[in-house]
Amino acid sequence: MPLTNEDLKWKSKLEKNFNEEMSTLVEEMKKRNNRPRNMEYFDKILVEMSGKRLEEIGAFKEEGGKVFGIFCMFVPEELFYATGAMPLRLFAGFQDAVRTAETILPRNLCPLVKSTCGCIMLKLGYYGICDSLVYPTTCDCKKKTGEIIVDYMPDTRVMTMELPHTANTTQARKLWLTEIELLKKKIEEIMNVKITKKKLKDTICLVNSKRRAVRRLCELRKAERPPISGSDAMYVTVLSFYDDIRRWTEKAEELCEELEERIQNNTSTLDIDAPRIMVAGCPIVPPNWKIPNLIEDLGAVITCDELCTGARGLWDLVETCEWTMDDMLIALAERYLTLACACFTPNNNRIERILNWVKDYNVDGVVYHALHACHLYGIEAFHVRKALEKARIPMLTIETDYGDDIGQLRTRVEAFLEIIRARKFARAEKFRAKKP
Amino acid sequence: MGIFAGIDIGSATSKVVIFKDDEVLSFVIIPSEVEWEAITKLAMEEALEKANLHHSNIDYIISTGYGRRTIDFANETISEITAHSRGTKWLHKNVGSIIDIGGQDSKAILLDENGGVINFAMNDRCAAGTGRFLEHMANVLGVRIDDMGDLSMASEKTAKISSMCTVFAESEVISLLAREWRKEDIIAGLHEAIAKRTSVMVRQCGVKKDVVLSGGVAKNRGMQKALEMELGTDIHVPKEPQITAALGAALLARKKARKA
Repeated sequence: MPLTNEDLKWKSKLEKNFNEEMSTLVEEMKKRNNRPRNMEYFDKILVEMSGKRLEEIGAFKEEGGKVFGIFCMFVPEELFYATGAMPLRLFAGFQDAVRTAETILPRNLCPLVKSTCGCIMLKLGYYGICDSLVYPTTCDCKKKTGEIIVDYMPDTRVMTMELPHTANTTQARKLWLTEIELLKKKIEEIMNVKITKKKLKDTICLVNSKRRAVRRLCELRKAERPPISGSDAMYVTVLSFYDDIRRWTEKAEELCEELEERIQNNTSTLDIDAPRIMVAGCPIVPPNWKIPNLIEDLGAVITCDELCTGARGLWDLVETCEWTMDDMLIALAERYLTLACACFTPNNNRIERILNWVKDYNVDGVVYHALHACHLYGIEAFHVRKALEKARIPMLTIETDYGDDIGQLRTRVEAFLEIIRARKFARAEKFRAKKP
Repeated sequence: MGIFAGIDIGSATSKVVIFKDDEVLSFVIIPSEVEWEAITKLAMEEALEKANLHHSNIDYIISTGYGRRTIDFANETISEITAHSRGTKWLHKNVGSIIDIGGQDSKAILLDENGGVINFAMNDRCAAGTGRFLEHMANVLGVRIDDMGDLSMASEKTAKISSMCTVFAESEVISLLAREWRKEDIIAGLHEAIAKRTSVMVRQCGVKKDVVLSGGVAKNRGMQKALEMELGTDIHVPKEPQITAALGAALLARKKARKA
């Protein structure tokens, strides 16, 4: 859909705000004490999202490259890389674009979907560069907005993928495998390339190496004094979706090396008594970084995140026994079905993982992030809370959007951290009393 | 021992409590204004004067409430949740649940037997069902906010108010007036509507006896009764329901000073 003059005026205004918000976020992050020096690279990527990175993607397109927008975590990146195409995950955390989308969408929708839709409507920087879109049938919001976003793509040979509602049955697995096979065929058609065994194997290894870097980063955050703030770590992870995959992996590994040194030299500035928080729930996307920043500005440390924009989305590897085409496709299908998104029912895998991570990362409390109108994560909060209650881990549910409600949120988070500190203190007293 | 101060800067009123050993020496409640810092200083001076003290006599000050970060003479800040739980526990030993309805927010807190917070819930952004809401409705009805409680006690037939949005509720009230409903009955209806909404929040946390109601709205007898009906339990209101958070902050100041 071409932009009208009115759209262009709006676009230039929003583009300015978008770049400003990104720069402000980076400036804020830079103000923190003693950040790992390798964060410099990631700061640059965010600031240059609508600059150099965009030029880079533009150059790739000029040489005949094709860019596919993927509207959810469930679309296997491997299949695009295997044909030389570039997958870009489409998600936005930009409030102004929410208003753009509200000119065509109902108001009471997920802010992430609205913001993404608005960015695409105005072809804002990075969001205007995709040739085509793949949107799986995850939540109602994404699936129906996907239909609309398609109209804004130059190539409307767009694909949906039918994601089953349950992840654990034989039929569901069969269906999903078929969908993966179909997607492969369609991409091959559009790209006019055959995905060979070797190509698929190479790209499975490529994407796995990115995931291994994420795992390594997560493992390092288990330390008694994490060598990196959660806000920084989550930000590095989310950038893996914007950046060139090989370069990102290399830089993330370099960062991890620095963090290992930090642990050895004990140079973390994070307080050893700081409450250790897990952030769970809906995705968090820059420049909307209020939740991680708020939690850590109040003296806690996010040791682990259970988000599809973070550890949950990138933890599992594609694991195949043999490198035959069939085995690789099955492995792909299995891997993406274990993402434990709240769109599945039942979703016990997610709760199990949360409980495991609470133990592994020595978590004192969980902040459950629910975006407005995200029914799936909003409802699932009930079971997560119940499971955590059993494990005696307090949970704070925050329902929010991309607006400015920081004052109210601060009171809640502050009170939550006070509860955790009081409990930690009481436990320590008890422990001291027991000692002879 | 020492002398301690707790300051609670709310959206509608600011409160100061001066505390010594085990008793409240003085307290002051004043309307909050834009110039928080200056207003709070005045309140502080007034409270000190009442207690025949000087600023330099105070050992430790903790601030709480919506504007807790705006004043620089406090040694520390604490969230309203912790402050309310401490203050209310001190006033009412058997407290299990706290309902606090202030100027622009309402909250429910569930406590353990030691007064530790187990869980809490707060209303979101909008001020529906809080003091501001009642204040606005009093204006629409042409009555004084302080009279609303007594007026509602004279209600014969409670009016139905279905919306909690201030703007929509206003039009509902106007249309009830147009249909010649008595003000008493409309006010009782407003209280019932707030009680229904608040009780959901309280049940989210869990209801545990004794239930204590605090905040400016607790001075409204009609509101207390409506909540009793809705929750099916007695509701206790402290003698000075507006100062529980400031008192809690003062108690925490005492604890802090003792440790140091």
